[in-house]
Amino acid sequence: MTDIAPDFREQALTHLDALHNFALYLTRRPPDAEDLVQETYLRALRFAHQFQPGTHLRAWLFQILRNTFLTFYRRESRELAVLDKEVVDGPEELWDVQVPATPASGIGTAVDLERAIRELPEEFRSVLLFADLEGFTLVEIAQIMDTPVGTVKSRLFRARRLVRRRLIDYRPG
Amino acid sequence: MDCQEAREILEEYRRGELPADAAATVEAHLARCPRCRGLREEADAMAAGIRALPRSPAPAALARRLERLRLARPRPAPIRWLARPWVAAAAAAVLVAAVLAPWVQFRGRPPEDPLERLVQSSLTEHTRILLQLQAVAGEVSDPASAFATLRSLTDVQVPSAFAGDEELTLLEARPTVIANRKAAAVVLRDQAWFITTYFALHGQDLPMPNEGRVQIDTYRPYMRQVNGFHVIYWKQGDYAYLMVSDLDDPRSRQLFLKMRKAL
Repeated sequence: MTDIAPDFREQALTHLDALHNFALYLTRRPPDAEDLVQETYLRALRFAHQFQPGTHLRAWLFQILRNTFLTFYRRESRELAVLDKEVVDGPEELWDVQVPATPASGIGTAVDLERAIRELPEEFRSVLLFADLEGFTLVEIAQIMDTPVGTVKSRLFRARRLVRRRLIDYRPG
Repeated sequence: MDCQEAREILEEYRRGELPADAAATVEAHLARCPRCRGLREEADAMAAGIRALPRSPAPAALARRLERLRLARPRPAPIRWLARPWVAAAAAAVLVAAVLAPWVQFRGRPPEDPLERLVQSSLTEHTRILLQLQAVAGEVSDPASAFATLRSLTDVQVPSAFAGDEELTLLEARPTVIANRKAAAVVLRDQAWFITTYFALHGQDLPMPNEGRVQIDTYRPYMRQVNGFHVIYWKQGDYAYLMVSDLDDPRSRQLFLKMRKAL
């Protein structure tokens, strides 16, 4: 085992705020988010010798954070039971979909959007945040989530549709 | 290009991840297809909305804790046994198991077998400790006084060897309950930040099975592997001891021996 690269720890900490933000979306509770981030850094340091220099440190940290969440936290957290089952599991194909008449107007307020994302099942919440908030490429997301690119794309598509439905539900009247 | 083909690579197109010629083909399709254009506009609008959401940066206290962790550099001395390829491979497998294996979880009533209760109880407590290592960056500065407090709370005399040495650093000493008995838990880390928890409890009446025991030097403790964790259980004097760690097999045995001899 070689020692951890001198600047590894320093670089890892530059992603702290982004990791915390994501952790809060995953756990929904500030104390859990802090624990999750701390556990992520502990693990990153312990597994630092497995990190390949030149690969994407940020993606690697997000991968550790999500895996830690799935391993340690998810069973205890109360995933919302309100799943749009037909949307999550449905066989619908990408090209066979109704597009809303006025797509851009359906986004609603930031508060509604944040709430809609928080209420998504984890795999949809994560994929949407990785893609649209953290700006990872589809290939990077596939690596982080250990899933084929095609699955990433179909989850992204379904995630957006779930968000859209929820935003419509939130509307008054 | 038809709608099906366009939508299959629409996401790559939106994100600028397509080669120029493929991007031009999608663009031509979008120019004449309002439905696909609608999909793209909706995705763009949602992405813009998400990018504009307020962020929740890490609280200052967390940043300070992690900063201390950054400064607590491990010593560079390599661990020789890890240099052997087969050991490194085994260690990597255990590490992966520790991260990816399903969380140790015990459903329903606790088992009736006292040994099983000890093992499960110590595993649960060790994993709980892993989650709660708030004080991990700040080590226990005065082990003697921490052990005295622990004794007053649990009635357990904590061996001074549990305070650690050059190789092992004491992260925490806390009272706990193992299989319905008051116990002392001490958490130690090695230089590579592998965490090991030792438990000490009154155990004169606790059983020591014949099966499942391994020979380590002149000792024969009970040893089990569960979900990537190694649990070693032994009795010494009036006390029962448990050691739980996600170290690999040889290193777990090494740490057991070190502590067993020092007690």
